[in-house]
Amino acid sequence: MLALNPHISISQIKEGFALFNRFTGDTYFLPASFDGLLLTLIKTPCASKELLALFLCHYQNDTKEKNVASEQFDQFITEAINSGIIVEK
Amino acid sequence: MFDQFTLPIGPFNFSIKTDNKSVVDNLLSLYSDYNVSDDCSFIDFPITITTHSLIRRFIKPQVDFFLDEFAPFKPLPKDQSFAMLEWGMNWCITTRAHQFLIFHAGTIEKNGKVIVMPAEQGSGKSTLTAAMVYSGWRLFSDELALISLEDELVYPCTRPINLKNDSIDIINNFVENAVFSTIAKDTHKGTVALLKPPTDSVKRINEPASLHSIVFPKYVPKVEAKLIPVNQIQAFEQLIEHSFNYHILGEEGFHLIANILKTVNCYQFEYSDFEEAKKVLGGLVE
Repeated sequence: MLALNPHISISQIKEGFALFNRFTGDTYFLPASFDGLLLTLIKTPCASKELLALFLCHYQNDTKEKNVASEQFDQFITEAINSGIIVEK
Repeated sequence: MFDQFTLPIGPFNFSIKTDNKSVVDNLLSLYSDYNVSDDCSFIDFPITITTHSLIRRFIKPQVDFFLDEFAPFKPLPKDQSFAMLEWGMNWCITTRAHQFLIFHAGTIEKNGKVIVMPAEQGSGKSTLTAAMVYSGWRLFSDELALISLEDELVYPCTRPINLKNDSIDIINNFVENAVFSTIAKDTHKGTVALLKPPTDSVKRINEPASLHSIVFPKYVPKVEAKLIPVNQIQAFEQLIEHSFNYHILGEEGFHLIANILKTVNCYQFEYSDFEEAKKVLGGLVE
């Protein structure tokens, strides 16, 4: 399961979200395209597959777009875990 | 023989004790509009400018800067003593006044609306600030933007404007009857002179105002003055970069920047001519 790090403070700005890690003092920015993932994780921890399904639901049936989006999703999750925004439970 | 001055500068009280004639002369000249006294009930920053080493009083004379008993800097040549005082005063504020989120920025006000102009060292922000405040704007600071964590207002820290190298002549030609400090040559910033702040700005030194816009200025030769909108993510990143104490304030600083960005517009500002710059920035606060 993936969850939002409890040390993360969030503020919505025009083009997405600003995130602040109270433990490390680091600041991150997420573009608006990842809003849905973040808002889901704010509410409750979620499995990676469910998050991916949520992320892909905007792409209808276009396989090519879905493949690109899947790659973006994997990259986002990897970077978010590495930077401590998301934690694995 | 030491002279001692108490200098109220906006939210801070400085005490300056010195046996350096150049510091005394420049203080009396550039701070003549301030409520300088020799007594105050509370001092935030007790500063002494003197020569600690007996040898250095006579051979290649140098001066030291002390905050209380602490000397944060290496001594500098005696002819840089007033510039050292001004740099040291900036250091006092940026390292201790954490009731404010502090940016490295020129800060000016007109019609109750403050424009904060964060920029790198040497970008021309002090020159632009000097030109604007001698064209009807109020000087808050050419170096620091102080945004209160308590009320989110911008507080003036009106002091002499630090000009370097070619900017000294440019402003001397632009401002009629400009009053400068003695010129310090061969400093780590080149040739430096301080410009006396406008009297009206000093009289209103205790009036904070609301932040209206954030403008990242850039001098570009022969370019027409223009404002280019900056998105909030870029603005947030740049503000962190130009902040002195974001890393110290932590979450408070984060939320303050996020709140600021909800109400102000941010621009990159390219200019080459003061008259055009006055029109464009004036248009922002009309």
